[in-house]
Amino acid sequence: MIPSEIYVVAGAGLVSVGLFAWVVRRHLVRRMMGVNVLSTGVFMMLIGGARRVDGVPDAVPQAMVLTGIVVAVSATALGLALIQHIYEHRSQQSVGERGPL
Amino acid sequence: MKTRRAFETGVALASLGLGALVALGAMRRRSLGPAAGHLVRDRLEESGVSSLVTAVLLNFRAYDTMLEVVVLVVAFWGAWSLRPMHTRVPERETDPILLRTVGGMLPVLWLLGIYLLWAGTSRPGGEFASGAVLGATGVLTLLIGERVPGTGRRVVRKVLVVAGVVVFMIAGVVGALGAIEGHELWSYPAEEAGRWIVAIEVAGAATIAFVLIGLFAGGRERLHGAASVRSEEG
Repeated sequence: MIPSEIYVVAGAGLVSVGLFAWVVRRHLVRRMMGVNVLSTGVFMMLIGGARRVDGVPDAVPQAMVLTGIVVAVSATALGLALIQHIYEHRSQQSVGERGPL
Repeated sequence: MKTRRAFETGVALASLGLGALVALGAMRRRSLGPAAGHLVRDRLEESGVSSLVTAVLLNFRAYDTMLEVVVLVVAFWGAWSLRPMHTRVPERETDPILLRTVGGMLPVLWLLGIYLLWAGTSRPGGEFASGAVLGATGVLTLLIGERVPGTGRRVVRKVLVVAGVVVFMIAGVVGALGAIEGHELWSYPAEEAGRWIVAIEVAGAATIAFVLIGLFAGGRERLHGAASVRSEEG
């Protein structure tokens, strides 16, 4: 039995890593991945840190995370579609790292 | 270059600090209380379903869920309203082994998705889990170069996109009309809640699945699979 604290700490670690990548990286796909890692960390913390009600996991954070995952997926998809268009708009040269911002 | 390095170090320290702060807060277990789970368990009888998560999603916090489906639909519209890409997706022949193995799995995945939908009222499952599995099934279908059944028709696509939200709104309007006869405003009556939840879940799963497939395809012209693109060109 793994204590739920491990998930909380791992989730917090993912939040740190994701936030760093989101702010520091210039490549748009990497930024998108950073946001995704960050949101995964938040989900892990919500699930791992949820209180147990009479031995059964609390349903409210689970419901929040369940919908949150689907919304995160759709937001990622829209972001990637926009990145594809930025790539075309810049004559397929770059989406960040070296090209002009 | 030096300022860049300093900036990166600063951000790294700030994110580590934030992560540590959040972890400490969550370990204290004060930040996530008082557990609303008690309220959910106490009033589960009134929700019309026996699954805690479904009760929260589709009864106690149903507005949230409806607006989350709206977020999905808006993201879908956003992606589909961009002009078509000029960059061609590299054509590749679908591997016959992939075609057979994935093709053989597809009916099982459809069944799994429908099972999750059916299980949602009493066990883990429900519209989001089911929609995600069905959406993944559709993505696999596109990846092996086949069409997702039904999505070739414009009318079907339009209905699928709005179904999840429209059924929610019908439930809301019926609830509002029921309020005239003395029910509580903006809620389903306890004895009808189960039926409304099933109706919303079926429509919602269809919408979620189609939106996920559509977002993966990224536009109408890629929804039809590689096979049709080839036949249109050839």
